[in-house]
Amino acid sequence: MASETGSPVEARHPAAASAALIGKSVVVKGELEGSEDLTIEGQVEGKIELRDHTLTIGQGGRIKAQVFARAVVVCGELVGNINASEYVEIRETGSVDGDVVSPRVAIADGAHFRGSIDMQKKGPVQAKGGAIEAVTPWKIPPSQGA
Amino acid sequence: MSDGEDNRSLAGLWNRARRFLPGGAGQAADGWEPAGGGAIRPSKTLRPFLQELAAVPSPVVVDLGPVIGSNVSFLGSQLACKLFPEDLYADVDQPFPRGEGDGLASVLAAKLRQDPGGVDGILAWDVFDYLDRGEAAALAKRLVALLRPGGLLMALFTTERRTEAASRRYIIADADHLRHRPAPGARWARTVWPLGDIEVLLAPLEVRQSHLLAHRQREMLLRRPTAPGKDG
Repeated sequence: MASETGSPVEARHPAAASAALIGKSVVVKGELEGSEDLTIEGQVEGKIELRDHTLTIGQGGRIKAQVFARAVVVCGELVGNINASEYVEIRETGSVDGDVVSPRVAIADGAHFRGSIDMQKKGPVQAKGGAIEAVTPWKIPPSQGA
Repeated sequence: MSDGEDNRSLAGLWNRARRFLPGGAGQAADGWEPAGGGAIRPSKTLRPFLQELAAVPSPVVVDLGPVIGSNVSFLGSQLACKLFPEDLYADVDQPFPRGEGDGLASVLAAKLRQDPGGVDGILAWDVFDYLDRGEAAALAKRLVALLRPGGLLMALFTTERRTEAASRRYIIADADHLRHRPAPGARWARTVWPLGDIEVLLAPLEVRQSHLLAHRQREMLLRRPTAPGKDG
């Protein structure tokens, strides 16, 4: 009987339905490039480049790498700098030791972070000297992974 | 400078009077407590701190508090800044040698490594309250050195000697309010800094604003002078 959820991998990892997956037992050393979303549950050392896509580091993920992506979601451990053109989200189980460059950064209570956060926006700088608005915390886009 | 501003207003009188009502002591007197814990209290200096930094393209900000996600998001959305969260509270809670400030000085040398004169704003919160005079002097010297001419420092100081069951962390509720969240810590006893001592401690910074708030805390906004003759 065919499964409605497709492959067994997709059934276990809903995020994997639309993203490549590096599983728990996989160790990658070197440069990793891709043109699709990627979820890492294993170990990666080196450099990760997903310029227009989302990198999700699952709870089991252990990364020592410089990361370049459109968006980065960290539920596991990352040692290295992150450069994300849209946003970085560090979940409560996530740990980041490194500098982050991204226009939007969300860090959950309980997450570990050590480094600097550069949230300089590209393009026109926001209005100067205007009124500072009441806080409307930036809402994290719904995540498909982790 | 608008010292005592809150206490002169009707709201300030009402807040002070409420402390003497049954159950009115402590937090309930001058703030409200949301479900997440920690009273929401007014802030007078956060807004001017943000407004001045908003005029600086991509300002560099040092936050001496712990990494608090909502603060990071708020500062990013308001200032598009480069933020250095440097949790001094975690170090203050360590049993480093007391008395001369040497223990803290080594912590500062390792932690506050930004370029001297390269920082536009510092959120010091109330970390000075948990330091003795030697430690505070070491921290003040380092912070003053970090600020660029015209750079701003926001700091909070208790106005009454007390030992609390927990230290505090500050969560930005909006540009006019902070949530004072209790946090476990080794140093609960707090130093009271008279206004004159604060000015000496943080010289050559100039006091731009000083507010004595109803919740027995002084909020100060200080600025590193730009005139060469006054720049120490």
